[in-house]
Amino acid sequence: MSHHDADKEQKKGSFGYTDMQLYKFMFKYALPYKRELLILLVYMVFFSITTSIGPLLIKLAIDRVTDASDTLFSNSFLDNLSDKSINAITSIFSSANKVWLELTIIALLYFSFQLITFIFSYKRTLLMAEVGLDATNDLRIEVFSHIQELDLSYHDKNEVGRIMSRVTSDVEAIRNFLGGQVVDNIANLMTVVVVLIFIFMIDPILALVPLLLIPPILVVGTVGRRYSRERRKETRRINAMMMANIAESIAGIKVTKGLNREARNIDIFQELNEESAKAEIYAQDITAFLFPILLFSSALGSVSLILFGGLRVIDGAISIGDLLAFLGYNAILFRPVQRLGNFYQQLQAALTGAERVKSLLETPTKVPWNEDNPSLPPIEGEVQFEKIFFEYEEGVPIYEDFNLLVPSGKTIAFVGLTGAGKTTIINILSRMYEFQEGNLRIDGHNLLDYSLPSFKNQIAAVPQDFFLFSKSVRENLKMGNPEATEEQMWFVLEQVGMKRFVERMENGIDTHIQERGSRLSVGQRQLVVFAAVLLADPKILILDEATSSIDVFSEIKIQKAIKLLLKGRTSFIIAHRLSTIRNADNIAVIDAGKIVETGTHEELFDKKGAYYNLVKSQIKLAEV
Amino acid sequence: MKPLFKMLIPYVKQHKLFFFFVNIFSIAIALTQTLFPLQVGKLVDEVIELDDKNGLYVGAIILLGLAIMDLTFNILQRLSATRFGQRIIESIRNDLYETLQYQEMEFYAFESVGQIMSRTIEEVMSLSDVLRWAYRITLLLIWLVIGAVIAMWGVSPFMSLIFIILVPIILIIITKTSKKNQEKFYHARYVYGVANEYLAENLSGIKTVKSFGREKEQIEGFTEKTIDYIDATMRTMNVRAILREGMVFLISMAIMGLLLLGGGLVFEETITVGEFVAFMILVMQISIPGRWVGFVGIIVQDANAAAIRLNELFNAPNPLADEQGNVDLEDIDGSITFDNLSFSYPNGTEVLTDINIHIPAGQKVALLGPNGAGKSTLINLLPRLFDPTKGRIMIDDFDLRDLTLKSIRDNMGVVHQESFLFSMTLHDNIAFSRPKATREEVIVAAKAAHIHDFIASLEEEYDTIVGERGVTLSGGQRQRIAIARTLIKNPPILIFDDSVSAVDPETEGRIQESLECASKERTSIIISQRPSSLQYVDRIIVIDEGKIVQDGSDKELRGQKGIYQDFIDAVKNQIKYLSWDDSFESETKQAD
Repeated sequence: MSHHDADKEQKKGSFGYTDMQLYKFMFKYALPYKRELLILLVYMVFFSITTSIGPLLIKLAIDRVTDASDTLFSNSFLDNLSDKSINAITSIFSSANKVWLELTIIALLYFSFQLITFIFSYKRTLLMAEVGLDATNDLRIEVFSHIQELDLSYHDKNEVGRIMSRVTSDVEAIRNFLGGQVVDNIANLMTVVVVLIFIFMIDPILALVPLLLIPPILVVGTVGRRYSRERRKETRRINAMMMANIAESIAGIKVTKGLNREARNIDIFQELNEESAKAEIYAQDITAFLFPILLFSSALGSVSLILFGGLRVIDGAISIGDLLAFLGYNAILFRPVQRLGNFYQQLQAALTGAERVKSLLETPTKVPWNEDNPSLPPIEGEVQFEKIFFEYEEGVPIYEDFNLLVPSGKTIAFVGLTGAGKTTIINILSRMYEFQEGNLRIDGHNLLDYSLPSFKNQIAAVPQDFFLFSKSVRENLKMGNPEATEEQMWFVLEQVGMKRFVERMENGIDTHIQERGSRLSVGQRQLVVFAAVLLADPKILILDEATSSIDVFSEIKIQKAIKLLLKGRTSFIIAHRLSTIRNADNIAVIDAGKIVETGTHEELFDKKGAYYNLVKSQIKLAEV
Repeated sequence: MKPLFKMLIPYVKQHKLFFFFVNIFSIAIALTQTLFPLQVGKLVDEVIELDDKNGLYVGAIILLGLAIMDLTFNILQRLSATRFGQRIIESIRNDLYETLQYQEMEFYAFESVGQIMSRTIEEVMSLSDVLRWAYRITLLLIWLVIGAVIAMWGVSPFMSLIFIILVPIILIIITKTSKKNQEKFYHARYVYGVANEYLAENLSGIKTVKSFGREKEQIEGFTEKTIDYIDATMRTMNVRAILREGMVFLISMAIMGLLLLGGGLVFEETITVGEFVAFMILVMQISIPGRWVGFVGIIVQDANAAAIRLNELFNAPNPLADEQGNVDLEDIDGSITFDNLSFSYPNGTEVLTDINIHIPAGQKVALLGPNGAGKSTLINLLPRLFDPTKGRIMIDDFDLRDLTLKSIRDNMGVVHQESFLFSMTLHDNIAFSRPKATREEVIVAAKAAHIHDFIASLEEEYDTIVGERGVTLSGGQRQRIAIARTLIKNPPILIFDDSVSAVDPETEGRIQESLECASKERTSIIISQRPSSLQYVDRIIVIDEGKIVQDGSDKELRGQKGIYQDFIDAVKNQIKYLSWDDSFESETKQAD
């Protein structure tokens, strides 16, 4: 299974989900809000009824003033009922002009219906927005949590910008859909049903006219949707590229400044922007045709109603008031159609978003958290690799049979040439990647039988390319231990020799160190990370010594700090400093996925084997 | 709503033609939509009332013709509105990008990537809603009202006046609610940016998060941020719901009022049934865009908040902007003078104090000192990434502040401590400062930086793409490419910030050679901790805590009590640094 989203998308052109699956996926997040959904349904029923009554009142008014017929519905029971109630009211105000009085009653009726509609619509819109927000918030946090769980092989292959857009724009697209138009449309569709019932009651024959227009509209809509979906996808692809371009431009701004490259960058961006504009226009052009065609169908409805309705008025089958009511209902019937264009756009965006988010959520982490497993008890720190088999890609094993036992509290240094697999083995131990076969034992416990967080609490790793957050020094130290006290923090800062520097910054420990810690030098950043490790106080420490050159003075500080770090822990170090190697209890020379030599520095040096040659060549060259 | 209009007007002027078409077709639509009801009214009075079936057929065909015209104009209007909106968005994006490119480092020190991203993407999108949709709807509504007033004038001036009353009511509601709503919208946008910021950081630092097993805390942190976002958004939702549904309510009420009034007038026989029908359809047609007025109001208010946020980017001060009279730096010798210079970061403590250095043209200088002494800051001042707080920097006899920024940087080549490469081909990365450089020139630079052999060993050689989607390079390889990208500029002044790190000693030796060669004809400043670099420079300047503490040649400084001697001693005693790798981080990825 590919871990690469972009690959999946490009290969299949889509993620291979059916629309039904995607709808199910989206609505799954609205389901927990059953009570709210039920209330929404009630609101919608009231909305559709009150909306449908409007034209009926118009008919009533017109029929009254034109003295045409007295029937409101073709149903004698309802007609009697309405006549009786109207007569009852008019009899109270017998002195007033009957028609004006009736009009006033109708107006009042209409006003109350509209007021109710307003309250219902308002409540409905608000409630739906809330459900949409809450539901997608659950989704957003689920996606974020899943991203945290995903192992490093996923993060290696997917750019930050791409993953970001899953959590932001893709989830937002689902929210817009769930929290807005979908309910509008359901409410409008319910209204359509109610209206159809009303018009059939008024005149079943004329009611056929709008009914006949529905199938062609559906066809036009479906065809348009098919085209627009493809084009929408293209715009999303280009927009993602543009986003990546902007992100990179900001990240590399210093280089751009130094090399006076602004103008050319702007040219490149403008090309991309132009492409994006073209793609957008291309996609929107479909709506530009689709939507007026749908509107035209509404006009067609009116024309047909006037033609056939007019004929029926001439024939005396219906009144002018009936015809006008039909025209009013025609407008209501086409209201959802008018929104269809907009709705499709949102639907497409939501489907595309759902597709991507679903795929992300279904990408399994190769390093499962196993939270149901028992917690690993506090460990001594003995680590045993047993017949570990590991490959990044099927058929290209890095390790086929890796065995190593490190007693608790000891330090082992890994040395070897590029590509030997040193980083791989420590990444397996720190559970960044999952090995395929063999056992990893801690104090004799099989690690896979225990929950991952309980192990991670007792281990810390310092990657070579570690990252500081653009928060305060304090927040960064909290990475090591969220519960650390102020004293503990100052203590560890002092231990790594950073106390004085931090004190001198304008806000002390609360000074923000800017993006990626750019206010600190490479050496200082490393010391801050070391301080965080001291706070974490892990039983097992993994250290990938940085190769960046650090000034000699800091170098001495760092070496002191490293000694401090190793004390009382089982430590795995990818070593670059002879001092570190010398201080290690054991050295493992790794070559092509195998340990070729082990022993102390002295032992191996005397042996004059691989280690000897490695060190010798390096020292000779380093002496300038 | 001033900020929005102020922002959009110049762009509208740029795209006059599409603007013209949107307006013209809107008028055309309003015209057909006004004629349609009049025709229906005529049909009712002159045909249906008189039982003229043939007249009805003819009338229906006329109506059909009007509907087709409406369809055509509608399509044309939308096509132009799309182009109008999209082209303006394109222009705004271009300007925004340009502004960002020309902003100086000081700006980036305070603005996070997350916030900039959400401004350039989300905020611009909301402007696009205004241009593509809200403007079109508003325009149509205005013309329809005008059309209705004119059409009804002949029938009943009284009724036509009623239409006009609608307009101020709508306007008052929208503008009255505007200011308060806008704050809410602004706040929601800002909070969204904050959540994005958190996300971006988390993803960039995912390895650190995992190394410390802090996933749970990160999830908690993110949840907190999204809850803030939900709260802020929910507050805007209330505004949205009231405005939107309230407008629909208002419009419905107005319509019903008009219809009842019309009905009454029919009864009084002031107007005919047909005239009433025409009137009713007119009202219904106005109600189509009319129902959206509240929504337009929301979009406009939201876009206004977006415009304010965009303006903050556009109007961010650029203290380094060229002033009039700044001259281009040309044909320089390359002497550099730091004249009584002090520097502190905004709100920060002083990083450099009273620096006085004169570097004659062609001299090679090494800067030495502990971390945080101010070396990097000093060389950041040279290409004028920042301005000194006190004193000045001169190149030849020019104060940097009297020169154009571009010409200063044209004359300098800087290799930064961390070499950032762009996800483009290796060729393009090396030719970054000279996009038109030929392959031969690129190869010459790559050879000088000792990276050519490596590049030649790649399958696609110089066309290999760098970055997450392409080949992953080691720190050493990246640095050599960064050197090549500087050398291709052939600048009179060369600045290296600790650039030789993370390379094996052999490569280091080779780079050293090429640097020596490259710096021969140039004024060079090198921050270095390597004894090898210190031997070939003419002069060593030692900086500690922002002050110059030693200044002289290797010979002069050796034996002198001070940091330099401490350094030499430390190097001697220093435990050897072994670099058997060109790369560690690449190791894992090459296997992918």
